[in-house]
Amino acid sequence: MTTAAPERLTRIREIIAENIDVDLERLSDTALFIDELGADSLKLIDVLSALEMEYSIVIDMNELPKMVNVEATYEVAATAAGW
Amino acid sequence: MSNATAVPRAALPPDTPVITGWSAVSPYGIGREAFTAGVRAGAKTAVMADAAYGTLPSPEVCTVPGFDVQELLGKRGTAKMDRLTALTLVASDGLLRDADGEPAVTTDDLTGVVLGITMGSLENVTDFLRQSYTNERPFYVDAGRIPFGSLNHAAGATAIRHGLKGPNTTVAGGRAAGLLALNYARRLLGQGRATRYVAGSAEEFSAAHAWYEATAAQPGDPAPLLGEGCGLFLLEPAGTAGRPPLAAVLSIETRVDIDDDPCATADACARRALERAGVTADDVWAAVPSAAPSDAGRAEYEALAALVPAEALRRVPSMELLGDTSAAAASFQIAAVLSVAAADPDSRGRAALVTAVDRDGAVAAAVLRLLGEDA
Repeated sequence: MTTAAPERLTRIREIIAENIDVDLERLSDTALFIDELGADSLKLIDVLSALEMEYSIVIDMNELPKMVNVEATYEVAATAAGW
Repeated sequence: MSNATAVPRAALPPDTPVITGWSAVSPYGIGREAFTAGVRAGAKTAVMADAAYGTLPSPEVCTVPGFDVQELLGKRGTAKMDRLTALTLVASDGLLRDADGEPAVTTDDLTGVVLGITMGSLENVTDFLRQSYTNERPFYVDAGRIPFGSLNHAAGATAIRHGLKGPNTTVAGGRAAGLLALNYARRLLGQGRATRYVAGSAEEFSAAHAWYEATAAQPGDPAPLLGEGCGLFLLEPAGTAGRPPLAAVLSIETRVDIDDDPCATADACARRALERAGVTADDVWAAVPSAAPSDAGRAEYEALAALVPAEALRRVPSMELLGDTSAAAASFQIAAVLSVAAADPDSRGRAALVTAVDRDGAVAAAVLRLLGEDA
């Protein structure tokens, strides 16, 4: 599990960048999607559904408010996937 | 042939809707100049389809050359944008912005948008459905594409891009959509619901569209040569028009061919449109049928050939050159007649008849008074 984590984080970053419409370079692990990167809740749903598809997981909609930055989004995906 | 004298602009009743600008993204290229040059030259636009489309029912297509969505509209918000919306937004930029990207047209809170379409972005909808059917679970779909799947997305996105807060409408009408949209705009202007309108129609080419059209073609007809693009017009009442009018919209008539006799329906529709415009068939300077590759399209041509002078039908090159552009067709027909008229001073004050037929029975006809491009 631990060896795959960096690759997963890289891929999750790509998915987030594509779905909230920011350049990958601007996407630090702690930058806030809505307050700092101009995303909105609709785009976060896109992120959620893209993560579900990528990893064949199901993420509870109630987890959406927790997905505030890359770090937190990774944690939400990790919990859903049991990584 | 009577030579109608030019109608001075001042003679137009102030509530007459006039076209004061237009723009086209077409198989001739991006922008009005490319369209005008292509039409005047009568150039063909068919090319071998890009391999990226995969297997197609017909190897040739009339796509918009050099249409790179992200290059034209930027990266932001375009990653999942459907082609129909992109074609419409680029056409709207051509209509409403100058070469530097600054607003070129005064708009207000009552500037409306009406766009004629067939079924929106068929590719977006079919791809989305395919994901739902073939992925591991039915809800493993690209949610980011959902907004682009709604029929009215292109019209809404156009209004948002340019801050147009007036009535926003999408009219689904197949090959008649361009005239239906123009009629809608004309009606709302007449009712005072809008002060000016961005009105037109659009169609995108995609593999899904090509297979749909090939399947829907009549038995015995080959897979049609398909085109795409978007034509937009600025429509304003003559009395408050901010720019010199290029043409007045004198009448628009619509019919549904319920007797399976498209020739008779097109004839009745065109005659009624002429009558309402106060124009005789002999006074028609240019007549532009849709040239749709169907029995309805062939019947439409027959109806016009029997109605207007032969030279009127030859004035504007056949729309076949652009392929079957479906919902975009009628807007391209109007743009084509404006392109030809602008180069011919004899057109000034004369009438143009533009007709549309759809295989589903929709028939429409518009009569324009050509006013020239004087400053």
